[in-house]
Amino acid sequence: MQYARLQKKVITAYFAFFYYTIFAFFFMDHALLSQVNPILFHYNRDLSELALIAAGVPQYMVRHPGSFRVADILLYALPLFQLFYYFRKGKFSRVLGILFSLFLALYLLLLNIFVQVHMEPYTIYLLLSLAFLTSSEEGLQGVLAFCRYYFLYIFFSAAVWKLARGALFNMEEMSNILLLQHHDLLSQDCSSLNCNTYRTLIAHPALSYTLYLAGWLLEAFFAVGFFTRKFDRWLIFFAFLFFVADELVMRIAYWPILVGVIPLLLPPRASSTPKQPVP
Amino acid sequence: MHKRSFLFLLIAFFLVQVAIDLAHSVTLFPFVHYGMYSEPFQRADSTEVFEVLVNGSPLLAKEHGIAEWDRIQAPLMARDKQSSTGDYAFDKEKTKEGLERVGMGKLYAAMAPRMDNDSALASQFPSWYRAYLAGLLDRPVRSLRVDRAFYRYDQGQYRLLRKEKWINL
Repeated sequence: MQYARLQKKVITAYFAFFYYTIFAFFFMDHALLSQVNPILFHYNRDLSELALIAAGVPQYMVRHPGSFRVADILLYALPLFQLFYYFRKGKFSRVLGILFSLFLALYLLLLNIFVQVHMEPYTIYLLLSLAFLTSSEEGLQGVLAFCRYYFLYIFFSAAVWKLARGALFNMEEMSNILLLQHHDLLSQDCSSLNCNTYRTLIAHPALSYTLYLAGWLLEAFFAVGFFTRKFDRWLIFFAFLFFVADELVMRIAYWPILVGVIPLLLPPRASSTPKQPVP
Repeated sequence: MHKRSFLFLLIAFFLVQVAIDLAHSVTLFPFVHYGMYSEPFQRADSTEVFEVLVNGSPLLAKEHGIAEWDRIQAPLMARDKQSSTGDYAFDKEKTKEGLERVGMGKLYAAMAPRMDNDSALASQFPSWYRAYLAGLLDRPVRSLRVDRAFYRYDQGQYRLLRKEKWINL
């Protein structure tokens, strides 16, 4: 019981830290809806987005730009309402929790429709937000177990995709990826250290393929997490390693997904005491 | 009972996730793909780059952070796609066909007017982009030029093939 209460506090603090950090970065990068103030919406082959477009939400927002500001205010305010409720009542409000999860899903869809911010690194936030809907210890453990499997699935499915689609057997794969990924950098003044490194990797496909293969092995290793928790600390380390390499080699900022290591950090503790609500 | 229903939900979620993964070309948020460069890449004959000049000086990727550079380029790529696809005509056509196939053609007719971008607003994209860049770069943008540049990678470097003017304000 004590442990479950501690778990909930840690999850709340960890989630709030990541959530407000990433959306502070969004603000600094001028990527919030009201900062972009978009005049066009875009299709990204996602059926949920399509439903939103068909319902007329993006068109309405473009015609009423004040709605972008409302959306941004709710983005920052909704979790604060929930935290305020938690500090006053000692538990989460299910209504506020449901509102927050639904709104977060909506905001992520709108970000992709208007600002071309892909949803993949942020989906785990939506799933973790389900932890704020439950007051039972069993429910909390369930959400954490679910998010842990999802985090493992992110990496493992990436490994399966590479195998199934044949990229793993293309020796020039990484060289060609780098050429495309950094075309804007390579077509400009390429005197910096990282630009020269990319050039070297492109010119030596065997060397760059070694990196690709290492990345694949690292992704595939996440499969062990489906069978045992014994290697969870290693998986956390590998996840950090993967996203640092992603930033350096690919110039892709995928680090927001690291919020997903929380279920690996907080293993469930076997308890013989009866299940009780977690305040 | 709780444990059983949780297990059922967990299995159901991952079954839908795998089904969406197998569907390949579409997603259904929150069921998204984590392919992470899993398609076999072939070297293209040429590549298109959007070159942006603000107040007469080119914006250089090496002088901007990853996220900021993305924010500079993403609206150009999106507008280019929206324009070249006829405001996503293919996506709309497929939606129409799909709904008609299940006898919901009338629903599409009701939805259709909400699915189009405003062409008058679309034509204002250059001035919108100028204002957007001024906010992003946090400095006035007195003049703006965007070119479509086509390059070929040859002997260790990109060589310019041709350049087309796109935006000139």
